[in-house]
Amino acid sequence: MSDPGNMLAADIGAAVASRELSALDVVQATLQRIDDRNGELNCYTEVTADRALQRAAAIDARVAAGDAVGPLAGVPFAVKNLFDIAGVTTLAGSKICRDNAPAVQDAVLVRRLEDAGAILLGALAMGEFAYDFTGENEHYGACRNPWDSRRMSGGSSSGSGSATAAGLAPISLGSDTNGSIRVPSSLCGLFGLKPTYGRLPRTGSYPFCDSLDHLGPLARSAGDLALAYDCLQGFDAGDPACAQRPIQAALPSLDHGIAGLRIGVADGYFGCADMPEADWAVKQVCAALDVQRELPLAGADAGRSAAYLITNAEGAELHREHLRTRLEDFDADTRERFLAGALWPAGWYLRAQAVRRWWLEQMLETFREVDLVVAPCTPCTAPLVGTRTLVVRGVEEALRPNLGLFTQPFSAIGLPVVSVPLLSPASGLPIGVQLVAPPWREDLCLRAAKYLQDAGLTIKPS
Amino acid sequence: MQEITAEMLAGFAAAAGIEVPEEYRDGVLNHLCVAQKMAAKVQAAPLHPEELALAPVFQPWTLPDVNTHE
Repeated sequence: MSDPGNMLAADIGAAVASRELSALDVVQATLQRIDDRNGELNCYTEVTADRALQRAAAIDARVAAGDAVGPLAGVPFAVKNLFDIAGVTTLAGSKICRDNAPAVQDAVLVRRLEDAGAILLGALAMGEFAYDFTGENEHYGACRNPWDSRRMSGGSSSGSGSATAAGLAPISLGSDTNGSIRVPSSLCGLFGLKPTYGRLPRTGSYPFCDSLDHLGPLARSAGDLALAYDCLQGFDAGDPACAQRPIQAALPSLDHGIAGLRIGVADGYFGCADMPEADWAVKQVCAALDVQRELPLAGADAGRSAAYLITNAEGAELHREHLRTRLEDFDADTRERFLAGALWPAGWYLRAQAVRRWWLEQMLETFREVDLVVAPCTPCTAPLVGTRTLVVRGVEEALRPNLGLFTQPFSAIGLPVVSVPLLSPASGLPIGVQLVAPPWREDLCLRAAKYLQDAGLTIKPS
Repeated sequence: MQEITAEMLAGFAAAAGIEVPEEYRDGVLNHLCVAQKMAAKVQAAPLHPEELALAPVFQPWTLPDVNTHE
């Protein structure tokens, strides 16, 4: 049997459906792999082995009976531990939530992947309350990068990045409020999709910042990313922000290439001439996509500031009672930020919400001229665990907020983004590039990602 | 805007009913100053002066000639 850790989700699904592989073999092999590597990587916080084995046996029985199984038949997956899993306490990376009762049912997106035949293997590490870009966590320890376990996985979907890159879950789910899918995708060498705000329901997930929270998949190929995304789509009334839109499958156009697409590169705020690895990666993608236009995107800095303020205020409001009663139980890296967010004037928040609207109007004007925007994802490859600062444009800044320097402006206005992984020749480490599309055009991001993969530009899945 | 001081922090905290223990005050003040810098940037954005259109429950909209699946 091929090692499932090296197989793509689409290949596992096809092999299980055709009985070349059994779901039970896939799950057992992946559980063994988790056992072998999780001590080093610290990416799983809960392994639901019994559930997975039962589910695998049920999938195999359906295949044997000739029943239809979904496109993800037997494909293992795991979810950031802010997704509800029936019988498991939803931690959201915190000590505070450890006291909560176990979830009574699965999150909607967990159910949707299982409806497509996938098999949940467990819950994954994350930064406390998703307020993180590093993968470090005071309560549960740092989640490590499989490319070099001395380095950060990125966050806050740290376990999602680490587990999928290490072959411990071909598909994982994460959340992205300011970059928390895209940053670990960049640092761990994965394809990551932050869909349009409102596309995927957040029902059954622990919130951070309602105005900006998105959920989405991470995978090792553009095809697996599109496959998972298509299985996740659909309205759910449990999330007030979920848009009542039809499913718009991305797989049918995935191989359409980039012919006819007008593509520009983000300049100005996104200029990264003094960030050599990010600059190299953007230039590689621009050359492959034949990008000719530079886009100033003048509102990006204000848009990023709006995202910072909205996150700080909404996150703090969510935890206001915890700040009063359980202050010492917060991670040191979130405590003082949440406190600050509970104190500053409401007018800043209102202005930030108005700026968000203004910044989207600017981007929509840009999308009259182009169909896709290329932008750097992270300023650098994975820093060593424990790193506290980063030099940004000649100034030594705090690392934690600045890993999201380039991702925040786009999540601020809900645009769909795919991060594609390249391998930096300078460090031998991955670094991502963002492909940004107009609202509801995830298909364009995924098409371009697949084109870059087929062109041999991105990290090969194996 | 006047830079936020320790005295202002104490006033904000009292008004919000949140105690900020002494060992965290420097850190909180630092984060308040970062937020203030971000606030200066959003205040400087050239929005129409007589419009305050917010996005409290935010659904991205589009324009007729932007390529969507509409």
